[in-house]
Amino acid sequence: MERTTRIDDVMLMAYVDGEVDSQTAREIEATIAADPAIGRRVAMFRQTATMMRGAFGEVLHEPVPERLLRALGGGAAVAPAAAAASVVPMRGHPEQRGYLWRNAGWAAAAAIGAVALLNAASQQGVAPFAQRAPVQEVAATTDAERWIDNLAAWYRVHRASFEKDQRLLVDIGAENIDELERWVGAKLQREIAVPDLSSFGYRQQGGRLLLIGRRPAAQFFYATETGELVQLVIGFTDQPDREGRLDQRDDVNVVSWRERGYAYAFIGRIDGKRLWAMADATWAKLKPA
Amino acid sequence: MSGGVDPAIQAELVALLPRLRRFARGLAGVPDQADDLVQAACEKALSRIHQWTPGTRLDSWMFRIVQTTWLDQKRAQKVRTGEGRVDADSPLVEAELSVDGAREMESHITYDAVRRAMATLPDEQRAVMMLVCVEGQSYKEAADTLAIPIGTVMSRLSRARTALGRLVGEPATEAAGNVVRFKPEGS
Repeated sequence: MERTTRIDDVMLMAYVDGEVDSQTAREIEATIAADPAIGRRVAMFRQTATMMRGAFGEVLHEPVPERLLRALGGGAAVAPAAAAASVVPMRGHPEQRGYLWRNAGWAAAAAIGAVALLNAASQQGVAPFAQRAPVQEVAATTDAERWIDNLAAWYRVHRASFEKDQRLLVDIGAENIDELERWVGAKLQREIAVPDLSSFGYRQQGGRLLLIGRRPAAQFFYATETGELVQLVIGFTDQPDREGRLDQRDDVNVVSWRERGYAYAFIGRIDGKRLWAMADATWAKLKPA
Repeated sequence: MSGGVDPAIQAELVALLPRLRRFARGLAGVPDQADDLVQAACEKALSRIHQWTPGTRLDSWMFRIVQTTWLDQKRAQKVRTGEGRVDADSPLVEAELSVDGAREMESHITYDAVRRAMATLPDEQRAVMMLVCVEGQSYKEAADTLAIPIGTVMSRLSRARTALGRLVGEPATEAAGNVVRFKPEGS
């Protein structure tokens, strides 16, 4: 028996969106093959969905403002596991702190002192330390502090999601680590070998790209068998080299440093000394060639 | 403000923040304004968390709150038209949508142009666009989220995508062959 169906935009769109049954889909496909105008219409509906995902996809990769976390109850307190955490709070700097800059290049960087912080995409043409006016130092510190805030906020969001769904939002998983390294390496204009943290009990989970200060940055995920999460972020920076530093935001620790135009940070809700040890074990391999 | 709220629900809300920000960005257009919207929606959600039914989708409930909060703000005229938002009749947008380059290759179309085009759509169309095209909700899920009939979702979505289709050079007119005679397989 023959049946007639009125094909209109709504039906074509429903076909593109997978909202029609298989028989109707086959009928529409036959029509597309016979009528280029219908085919173009279908392509348009498909393209608009793709364009929308692309146009708004970046938002997911942006750091979540601290004020939104606070609106939900205030920083780490909103995460039940965080509230029950048995994390050893940071008490001063780790004993082995010096090891990170046991390198001639770090000696001068160490003199930068308290101003040194990550990510200054908005800081153009920063003058040498000795010539910088105090107001510039304050601005640099404020911006970088915000970046540390964002790293910690990011971490908390991912950790809460990881605890709930046992999966991470990664662009490329650990099973394709070579592809991940090539991809982020191209974006960061350098070779990158995703560090192996298995000696610390952490397995690679994959990674994704972020936009920091309108420039690409790589974010790698690691997790223990019990689900403890650690992140490594690598991005561009216009700031001078800077020795390793440990910051704490609530129960999240951040170990960060800068070298040769790149900023690095390990983020985790683990003991600061342990996080520091990870950075200490990997920083030399992370240096750009 | 959040006292008394189940910590597990709070953690879920935190995990939802990136998607809520994205949804709000689609509605408000301007990043700061979108985050203001998410913040207001979160505060509203916590104050009425008892209205959420456990076992139902928290994300859809939150999307609904974000959308109603946005409409409330607009009605109260608390929302100004800022950078990144343009009026539908703006010559700038019209010019951008009709440039010849945009007709040549999809790769010529910038995401910024898509966002600008979205900003010209009516609020209700933007909401269904974000839920279906970006969040990947089914028509039924979007209808439930927005508490509107599924037919309304489809018609709004079709109109919105047809408008955005101009970016890829597709005319706003309907498909040419309106009535097609189908033969079932095997006949």
